Amino acid sequence: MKSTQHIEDLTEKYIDEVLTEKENEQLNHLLKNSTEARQIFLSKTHFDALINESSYNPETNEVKEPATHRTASSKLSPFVSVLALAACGVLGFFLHSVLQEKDADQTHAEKSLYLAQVTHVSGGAKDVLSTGLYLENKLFDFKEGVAEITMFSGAQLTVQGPASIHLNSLDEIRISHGLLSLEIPQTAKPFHLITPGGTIRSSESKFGLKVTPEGTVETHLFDGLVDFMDNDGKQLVSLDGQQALRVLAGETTRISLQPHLFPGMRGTTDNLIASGNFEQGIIINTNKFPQSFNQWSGDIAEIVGAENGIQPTEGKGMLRFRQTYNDSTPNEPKHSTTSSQVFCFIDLKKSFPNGIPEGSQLVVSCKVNRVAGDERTDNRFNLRLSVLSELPKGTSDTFQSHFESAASKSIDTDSDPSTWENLTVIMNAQPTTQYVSLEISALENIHNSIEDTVELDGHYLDDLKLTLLKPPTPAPVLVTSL
Amino acid sequence: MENEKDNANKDIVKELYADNVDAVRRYVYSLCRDNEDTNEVVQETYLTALRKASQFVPGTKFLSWVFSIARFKFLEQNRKNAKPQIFLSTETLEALASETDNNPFSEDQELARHKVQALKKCKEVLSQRNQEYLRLRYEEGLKPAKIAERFSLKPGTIHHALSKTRTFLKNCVETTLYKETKFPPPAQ
Repeated sequence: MKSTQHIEDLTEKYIDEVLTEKENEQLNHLLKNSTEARQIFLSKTHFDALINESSYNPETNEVKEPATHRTASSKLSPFVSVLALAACGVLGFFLHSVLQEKDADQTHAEKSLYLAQVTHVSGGAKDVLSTGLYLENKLFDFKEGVAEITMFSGAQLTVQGPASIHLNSLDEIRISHGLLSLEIPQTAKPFHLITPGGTIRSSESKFGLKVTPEGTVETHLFDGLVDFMDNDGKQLVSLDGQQALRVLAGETTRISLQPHLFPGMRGTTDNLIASGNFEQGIIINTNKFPQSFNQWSGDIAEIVGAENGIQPTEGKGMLRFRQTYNDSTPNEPKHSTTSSQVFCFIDLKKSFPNGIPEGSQLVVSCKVNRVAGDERTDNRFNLRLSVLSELPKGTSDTFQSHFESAASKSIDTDSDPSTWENLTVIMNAQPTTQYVSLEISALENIHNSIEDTVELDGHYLDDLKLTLLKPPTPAPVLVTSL
Repeated sequence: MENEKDNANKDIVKELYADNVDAVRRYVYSLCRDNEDTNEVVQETYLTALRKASQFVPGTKFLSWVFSIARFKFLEQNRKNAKPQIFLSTETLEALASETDNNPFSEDQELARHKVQALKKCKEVLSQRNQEYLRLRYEEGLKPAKIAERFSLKPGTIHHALSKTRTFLKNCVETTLYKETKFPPPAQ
């Protein structure tokens, strides 16, 4: 077993060309003397070749010469040098210079560093940027729309067009013009924003920045501390707390703070479920479905305190799944069911009367746990988030007839009662999304117990949360006329 | 008469080579670890295979024959290189060549094509960062140390991530093939 892992590790290193001399000797020795080693090596290198085949585009590679490849130009170098000598120096010098310049470019490319990633883009900014794009040291500008840029130093920028920004380094950007909201985390090295009117320096803050093409710079500090320096590095003003400053032609003026004039940054709502902590007093009905919003109902389950060596994640209560049937199905063959489900319906209109912001995501998470039990103890839980057109009514109504879309995730829990396991489901929300159903199940995936016994030995749910992840939003139109 | 036989063999080799060029390329890439070098060796292998077509016995394993030419061409190219990139000794290469049974490089070409298609789908499931590591490694040919520079990470972190990604992709491809095609998953 150990030798199998060893040959696998060595082969992986061979594939990535990171073998040390000693490891190379070990690999050669193993391959010469072991059929098993050869089979593993051939299997892995073959799959690596398939990955390469699925990635390699000869046409692209002819144009874009990879920095570490032996390129056409470097292969030509000796030939070109001979020609150059024959052409008596002048032409040679010219060709040599051209090639050297190309090599210098490649060296620069090799040293290039990703500074940030585009984590959201909307509107006209999509013409220039795309979500997921990695950004190097470069200038980008766009006429309209919003882009969220997450610097790898931790700073987060929400930029609204028209904007022109140059990422200089992990902790420095240059802004020619644009409207930005920024969140600078606590860092060892201060973050610098260079503008035509001066440089803003901050180590931990949230603020809005407006830079006009004419050179007016407005800093609206929402939280934290920023220093404003002139272009010679001389400190002009420090802002602390909720203050705002305008700088024009070296003149600084205190102005009123107006946070609403800046693009909204990505945000998460509070928990939209009041009863997700399953504390004592929360009722778990045993109807097929809840009869109203924010109620729990489903198969037989109850709120319990610490038991069976399992402590609630917080507070004193947690939900325990008991049976795989409910009171509305007394005459059905109970032994045929293999999952104990509880439901809760949420009306999002109450939290978002004007509709859900476009591009939002619903995030539902919970914690699950179970007793160690024995080899017949079931271990699977499922979390499902469904969007419904309307609520199921009565016991005869079906869930499916109102179903629009859903996302779910399962987990097979470990047998350690001291650890809770997380389940999280993320789903894109539409502006018209109104009703959602949360459904958590404990599944009889190992052994389907017969009716009239406790079907689930000790299966628990706690800390259920539903939040809406809101994307960055543009500022009101009145400030976009930069 | 000899010429006629030579020409007939040449046609057979041409046809077999065209059918198996992807397999040859994969095999050569596994040795060269570089697409430019692979292209050169594959081209040289083809020319040599045509020159030596009379030595090929129709009905025998074409890929074993052409792989031996490719191996020779690879070693020849390495000797030419000022700083050979070879990690495997000639003896090791011969030992690997002796594994003629269940050699994945000789697998059914239709299966290989399905795998490449499945790989493209499976890559879409990867996180953006892992996709980028893979792109830099395979499309740009950067080694882990160079990729690590771009992300301000340690080379070992990149190698570890690439290794895990390859394992994930292998499992994903096998699952996809099992679900979507007639090909069964390999025996564990």
